[in-house]
Amino acid sequence: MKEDLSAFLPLSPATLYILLTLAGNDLHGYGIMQEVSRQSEGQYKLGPGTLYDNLQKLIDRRFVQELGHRPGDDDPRRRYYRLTSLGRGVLAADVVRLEGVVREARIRLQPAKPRRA
Amino acid sequence: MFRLLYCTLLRLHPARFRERFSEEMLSIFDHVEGRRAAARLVVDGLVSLVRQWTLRSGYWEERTIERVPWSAEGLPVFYTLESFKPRTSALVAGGLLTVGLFCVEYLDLRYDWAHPVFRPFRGIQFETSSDVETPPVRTPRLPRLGVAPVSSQQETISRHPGTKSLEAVPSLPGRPLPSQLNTPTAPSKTHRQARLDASEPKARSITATHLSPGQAVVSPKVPNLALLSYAGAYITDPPNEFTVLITAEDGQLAIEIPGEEPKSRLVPTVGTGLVFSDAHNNWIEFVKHDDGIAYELSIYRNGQHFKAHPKTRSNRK
Repeated sequence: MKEDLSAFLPLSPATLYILLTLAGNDLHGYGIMQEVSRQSEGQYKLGPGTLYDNLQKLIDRRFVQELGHRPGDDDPRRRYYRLTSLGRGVLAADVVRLEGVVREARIRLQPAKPRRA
Repeated sequence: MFRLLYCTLLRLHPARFRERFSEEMLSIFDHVEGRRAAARLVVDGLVSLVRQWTLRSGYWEERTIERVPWSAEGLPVFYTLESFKPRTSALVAGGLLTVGLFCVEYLDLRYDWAHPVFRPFRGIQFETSSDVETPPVRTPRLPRLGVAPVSSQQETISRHPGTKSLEAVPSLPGRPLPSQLNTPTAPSKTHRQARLDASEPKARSITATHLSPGQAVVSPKVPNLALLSYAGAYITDPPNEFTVLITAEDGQLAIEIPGEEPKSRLVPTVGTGLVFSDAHNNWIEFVKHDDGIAYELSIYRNGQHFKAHPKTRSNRK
């Protein structure tokens, strides 16, 4: 049975960036922060408080899975997180929604053509 | 220093959040470089602290539920209050209830007709009525000691001349009230004359009787002049000038403000005040000379204070 993902939309900017970051690789918290900063070209900076608050919500909603510590990591305190299939579906749904927003915005923001008399 | 501050902020987070994420948050803090970045993380930690305690109460609520241990029968045996914090709605409801109760209590104290300050003190009874006959009180017969019976004699005890308070006689159980002020005073006597009589030491006396063994005690009738010394017409000071009539009826003082206040009996309260029997928020107080004559009357009526003086020919209009 297909779950209705529209209930989770629209995603907040922080949630969108975190899901987008985890869509590529499994990352720890600090890695997520750095990746968010890179993806937004430094325009959106995520603090640890906001990051883990959102991660907690995403884990509770089963959008993200906690993998725990990885042996051989530089810092043993780091835990890794992975995007679940549900999280991936929500992210895809939000991207579709954003595509619609972008399409509509492009239509409306086109310069008006001069009418023939 | 920033690290210590950041650690403190992390420790103040809800237990569940702290145990799950504080290590990682501190790890991130250790990776950032520069004081500015560290300060930004401290601010972020402070915002997170407020957010967790106000908006994410689910962390500590779940934690509290998890900590309830269970006995072998499946019943909770101990409920820990560690990390417990009441729900926000409970705090709001409690605060509103407290404010409501405070307002009710304030209104009760402000507008209650039976204000405790003016409530008559039951242990003190005002002078007994002059018209009502006090029934004779018999004392138990004393054993005869072979001494010849002493004839009844009366002794006069003068009142303290400097007293300034109304004569309130304590009502003690098993002891007859002194009826020193009972009197068949003629009601036709003018109040002015009554005050003059009251000023005479001879009239202002208390009689006590020495009894022979076995003799019954009968309350002697003495003039009720103390009450009459307060009676009379008073006039308040300008600008709110009105006449106040104080009368002594049935052993009690009564007050009347012609045209404004119907006649109301005055009930003595604790101290020297007399409260209106019909309106307990209104009360009066006599100010007397050392000779017992009232020269000023303070009236507290409907939240206002008036001073009145005996109406004499000089101020009579």
